[in-house]
Amino acid sequence: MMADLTNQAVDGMIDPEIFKQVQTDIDEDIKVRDEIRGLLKSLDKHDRSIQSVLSRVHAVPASSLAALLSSAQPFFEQQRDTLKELDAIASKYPYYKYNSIWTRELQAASYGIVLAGWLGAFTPENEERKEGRLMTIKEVGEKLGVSVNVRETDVFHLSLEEYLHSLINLIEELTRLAVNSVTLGDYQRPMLISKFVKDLHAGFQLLNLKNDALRRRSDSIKYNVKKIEDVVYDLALRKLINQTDSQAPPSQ
Amino acid sequence: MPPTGSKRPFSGSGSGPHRTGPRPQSHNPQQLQQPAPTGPYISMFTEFRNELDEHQDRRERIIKASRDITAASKKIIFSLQRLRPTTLPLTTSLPQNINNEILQYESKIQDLLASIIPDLQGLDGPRWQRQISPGLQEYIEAIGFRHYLLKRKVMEWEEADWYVSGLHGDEILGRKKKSEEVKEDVEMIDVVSTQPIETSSTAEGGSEKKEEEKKDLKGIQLTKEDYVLGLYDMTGEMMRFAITSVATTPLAQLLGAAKDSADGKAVSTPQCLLQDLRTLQSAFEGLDVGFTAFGKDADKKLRVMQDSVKKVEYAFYGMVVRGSERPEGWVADFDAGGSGGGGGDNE
Repeated sequence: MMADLTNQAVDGMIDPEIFKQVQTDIDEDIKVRDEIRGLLKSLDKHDRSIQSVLSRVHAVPASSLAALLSSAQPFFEQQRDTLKELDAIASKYPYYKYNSIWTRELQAASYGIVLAGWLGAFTPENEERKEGRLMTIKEVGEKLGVSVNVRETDVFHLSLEEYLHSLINLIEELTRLAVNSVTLGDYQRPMLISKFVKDLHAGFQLLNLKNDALRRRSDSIKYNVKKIEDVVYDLALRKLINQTDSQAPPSQ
Repeated sequence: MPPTGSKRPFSGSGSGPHRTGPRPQSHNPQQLQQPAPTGPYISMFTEFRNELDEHQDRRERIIKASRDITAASKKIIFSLQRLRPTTLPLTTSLPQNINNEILQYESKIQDLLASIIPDLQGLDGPRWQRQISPGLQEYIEAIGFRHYLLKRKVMEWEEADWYVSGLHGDEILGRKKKSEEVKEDVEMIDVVSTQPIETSSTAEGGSEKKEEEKKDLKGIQLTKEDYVLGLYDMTGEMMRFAITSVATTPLAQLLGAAKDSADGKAVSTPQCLLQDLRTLQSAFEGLDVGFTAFGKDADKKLRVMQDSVKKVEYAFYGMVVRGSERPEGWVADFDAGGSGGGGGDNE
């Protein structure tokens, strides 16, 4: 009697379909991840090309900057194409399921745009190139060809956090540029950088960041502010800049 | 924003009567001294802040709910561990006292799940997956364990998903739907009120609207990953249950299979548990989990599970080796709860 009761469910304890289904899902997940990683390799390559062009800004006078920026243009276009492919794959799945895989690459892509934009790469043709412009998240999205900060629909996009990370990268790069501009004999650009970075710093101080990478990095902005102030101080001390000019930004 | 002109005269006239005494340290003048931040990007970053704060608040609500769900689920598991069944699956439903305990915790869990449904809509579902998943896994562990004890089966994903969705609390707990309660109230009003038609129509309209809003919300999604990880944890509970069971089963029944049935099928509860643990072990071992974060979790839990199976095997070994030294019919007295296993007894 008891044997009957205890044995009634033995054979069907696990429906084998359960594990088959789970396995299918796991396999699909791994396949998608691999596919995305493949695209990230080419994104990485485009990003390195862009950075290698833009990093020469530290060594060339402002007069030849326009040519430098236009030489980066083809790489931006390639980046756009790859992002389109990534968009096509990623938008098939919930955004936040895989977003951690590409978030570094998207930060880098956004950084390339904000840096080039600050240097004046995207000024309309009929205007004179002007430095010191902050590309908004919307403009970055337009340049990259991706949606930004989407809240409603679940599609591939550049997130607010990724954009903020790229602004911190920009601040770090501009700090270096302030120093190198002086070496190149450009005493006005550090003034422009100083004001720009201070303004951004004021912005970052408004944010209530949780204890994460963004918080740690934004805490370090103040050191960049100080470094740039030291450069400005050095110039002012030696009367290399006219303090009253400091409000007139363009270095060209 | 610079200090407004209307505030200054107010603080000035306010301090007037106190001029002779020490200045009252009101917070207002100090706030006025610090100028609001100005700059070209302030409004942009203010928008960013509002958005980030919203995310952060949502994240914290979810983490809190997850933690509370975990705690309540653990209590359900403790209640289930107090059962002393002689058969598996249990031949009757859970004993009343244990069922009541569980119901109390489960209603808490269902309320918590329902409360965070709005926070997990659309993009936010996968976004906060990692924050909610500990709670969901623990709940799967608890209801999976209950399901196993009652049916001696592994709960399927569809059923588990139905449980965690947060939409079926009323059915799960056997309580009345809120809309029905409202309607009953309306009927009561009908009797008393002098204008029954108007009151009832507005009240019903309101409740229907709420129901519709609820329907628009998608329930909480259970990922296959959380489901599997919850089942892994469940094997740990089966192990604990099996060890207790081995210790409280008379030796003659414990090894029933070897004597009574030629085909080696499990007879006693501990034997059923060991057999099922082995079945689950081989199913989990056959799973190719990959090298994702989930894969690493699953690998770790698989090792824990293999240890669990070994523990039960050693418990059996101990009983066989040392059990023969016990007096005839002697059983360790574990049953502190008294009537704990009474419901399932049939001897």
